[in-house]
Amino acid sequence: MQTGTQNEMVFEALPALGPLYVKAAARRRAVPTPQTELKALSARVDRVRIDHDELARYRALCGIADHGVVPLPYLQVLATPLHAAIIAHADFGLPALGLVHLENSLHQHRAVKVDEVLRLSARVDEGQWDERLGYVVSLVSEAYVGDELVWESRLRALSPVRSKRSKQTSSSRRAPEVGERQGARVSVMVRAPEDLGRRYAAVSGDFNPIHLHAWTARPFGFDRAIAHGMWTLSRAWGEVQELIDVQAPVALSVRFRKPVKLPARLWIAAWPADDEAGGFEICCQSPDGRLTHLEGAVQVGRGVSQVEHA
Amino acid sequence: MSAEPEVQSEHAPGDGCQQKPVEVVAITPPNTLRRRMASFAEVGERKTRYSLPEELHSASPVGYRRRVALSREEAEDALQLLSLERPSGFGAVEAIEEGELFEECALGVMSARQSTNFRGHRQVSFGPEDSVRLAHVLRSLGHLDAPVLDNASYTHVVLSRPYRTPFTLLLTLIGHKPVKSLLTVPYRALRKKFWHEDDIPSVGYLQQLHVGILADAMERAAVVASCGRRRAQVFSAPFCSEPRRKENRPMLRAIEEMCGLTSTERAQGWRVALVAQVGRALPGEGVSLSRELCRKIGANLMAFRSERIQPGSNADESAPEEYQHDQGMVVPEELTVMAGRAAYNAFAHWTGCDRERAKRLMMLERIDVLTPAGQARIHEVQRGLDEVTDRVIATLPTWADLPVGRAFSRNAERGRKAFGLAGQRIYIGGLSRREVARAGLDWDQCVRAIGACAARSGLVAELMGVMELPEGCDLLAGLCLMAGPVNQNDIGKAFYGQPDLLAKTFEGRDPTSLLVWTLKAKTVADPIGNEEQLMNPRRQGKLVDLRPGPHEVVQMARGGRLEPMRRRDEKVNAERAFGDVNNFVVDPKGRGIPGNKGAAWPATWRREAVWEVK
Repeated sequence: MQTGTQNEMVFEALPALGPLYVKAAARRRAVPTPQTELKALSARVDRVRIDHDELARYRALCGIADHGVVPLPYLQVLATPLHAAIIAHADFGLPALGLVHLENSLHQHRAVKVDEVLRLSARVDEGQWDERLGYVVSLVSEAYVGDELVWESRLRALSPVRSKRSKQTSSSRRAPEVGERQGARVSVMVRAPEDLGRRYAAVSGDFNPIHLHAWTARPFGFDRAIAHGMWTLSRAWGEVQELIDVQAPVALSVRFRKPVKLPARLWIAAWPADDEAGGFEICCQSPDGRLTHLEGAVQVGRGVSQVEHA
Repeated sequence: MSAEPEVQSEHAPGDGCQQKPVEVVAITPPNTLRRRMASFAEVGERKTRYSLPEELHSASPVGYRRRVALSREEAEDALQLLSLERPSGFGAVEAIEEGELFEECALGVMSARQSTNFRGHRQVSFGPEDSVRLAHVLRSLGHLDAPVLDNASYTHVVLSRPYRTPFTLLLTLIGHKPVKSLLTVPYRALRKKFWHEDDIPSVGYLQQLHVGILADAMERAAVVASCGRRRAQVFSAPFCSEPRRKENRPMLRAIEEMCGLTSTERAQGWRVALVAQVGRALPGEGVSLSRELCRKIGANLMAFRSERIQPGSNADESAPEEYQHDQGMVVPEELTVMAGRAAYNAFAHWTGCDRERAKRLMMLERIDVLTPAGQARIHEVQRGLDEVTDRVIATLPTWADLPVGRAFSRNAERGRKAFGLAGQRIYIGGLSRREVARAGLDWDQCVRAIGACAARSGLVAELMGVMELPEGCDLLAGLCLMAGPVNQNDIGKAFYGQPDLLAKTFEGRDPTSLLVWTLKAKTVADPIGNEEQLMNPRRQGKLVDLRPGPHEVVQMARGGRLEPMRRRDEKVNAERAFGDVNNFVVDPKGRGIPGNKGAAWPATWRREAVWEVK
């Protein structure tokens, strides 16, 4: 059930994603322009208890070991229905279909225990017109335990517009340097099977048709189903979390590049960042290094700031 | 060339001392140091066996590895592993961390086999409670090679199946008469499939040789993985030959039932081959090795086993410059003495006979390739093998060869290169069935012991090949262990009336050659493309076995269930054993092979006790 003011939605429990998608897809909205303005929409659930079974299934699918705390990306997965509620809202100024997950910064102020009751909220933070890409919207999510802010994230999504600029030809692209970087701490090949999208949808509730099957992805311009960005991020996190103290404050910032077309094999690599903060840079590419699916950075320890995008 | 035992024992026969310490032998590096400078093929450049692989997608703990230098003191300590006596008992039962068990298995069942291997081993590991039950069953077995010990912290049971590869498929077609072959080929194929009969005896020996190599490796693995705290009591003899298996049938069935062996697997020929009890070493029986050294030894053993070493010379015309020079290095005489000593240690250890008798029974022909006599002998052996290849190709049934585009004869032709013998000291090891029977020993047990001998003596060369290893070298000495020439000779013996490889040297003793191994002194490792054949399914993965991951060959009995090692839901192992030593192959710019380093298994899972100890 939803309460609250016109721009603030308050739910008793996390809403189901399916009806929200239908609602969002059914709304017809104008193509964004530099003049498009976004309303300050927000959504909130005051008592969220993590379902242990669901978390276990998520961990299993993403290869994340149980260290007794909620995995950093999982709260983003939990916040997804709130984002969907905002996007499906009648006053949301961008077309829901075709929104592309561009970047995600996740910040764990302290480790969240699986039994803690959370207040989870999401809001539209800002919208920006980008001449090259289109309209970029930022959605901020926060998790509180009591009055303590324990986790926050900033997700940037793009509502693309068709531009006349010519695509960079492959011949002008520089060939990637072969091999892994010196000092890599993780360098592992991972398989993403064809049914991954369906299985991850069952775990996350995100049944966006572009992830489910080649047939359902085709109308949206993809010749094959594509993996959920959050799966790619979570799978990489499964390897990276072994390099850090997951109990400490952590900031993770990633940028999503090329979609992972299923089935696929991915190369996940992590290496120490050049700074002296003890962080890591992470990357998820095709095995030959020609396609970068995800890149980002992790910072660990007290005083970590919201990391800049790589 | 010598047919005589190379080492004269200082102990009187039967004085109870089975193992003689192996001593270090320094190998002098050449003036010009060279190493394998493999790099990634540039964009548009054709990839060759000398290029670095583009990626590694494998759950195996091995990966593409380099050797790690040991100091002289470290090498001296490491050589203790080549003369281990059996433990007399175990201390109190202790819990084992998953990470240690993984690394122990990585040194054993996941990597012990040599390059021409087959996926013919599996292991089931049991915790302390099941170990008590297993000890009870073991005590009921006849022909035990050592006392069954109490307080085992865990027990490994290794299952093995007959050796079957594309090579053995080809063998089905060999040695038939024209026309008649239409009947005799299917007849032999059926007998092979359902009764596990071998086309030639030496293929049957391969299974035993591999088990022998694994037994020897498992004994060391328990020590290295635990930094000398644990010891293994490995039983091989009760599971060797058919008469012994028949005698022990009810007990073997009980063990196989514990291992969850199905009737289908039994029909495929899977049987219990080894049992290894592992437990805390008693005071005075532990092996004194520092943790740092054990990590280095483990990483080196991974490096030795990561290579698929070619028997022949690697310097073809297209080879990079570092392969084109004769380095003028020679395997020192003292090294061959120590290699022989390790071999006799292994034979005595695994057959239970004393060293002097081991020397008398083992037939070791050494060919010094660099001498004129050695050259003549090697040409003679090579001629014999080539003759067999010619006759095999000439007599292959056309009705089978033509429909597959003469694939069988091309395969046989390729064997000519594969059986090319090179090196500096070539050993042909064998036994006489007659003498073994006269000594009251079991033939299969002795064959296993020969496998252990070859592996252990080769390890002497491999370890000495990393002692005081200069920065600019990959190695100083290495080993190539092969059964191919023996199998080829066996075809000649079985179908074309050829004599055994050892017949001339050991005239009148009715020898049966079993294995060939060559020691080489050099500083440039073999082309990494050879290694890729073991790792990459797209690179002849069907012809040679791919390195298995732990979830494929190891099961752990926990809570009444058998669980694959390191498979948790979607996640399987990507950790390379002893990876902390960081001996991964890199290109000259220091860039590694994507996927080669793998990723550490989650620390909480690694630290878990596999079995609780009450």
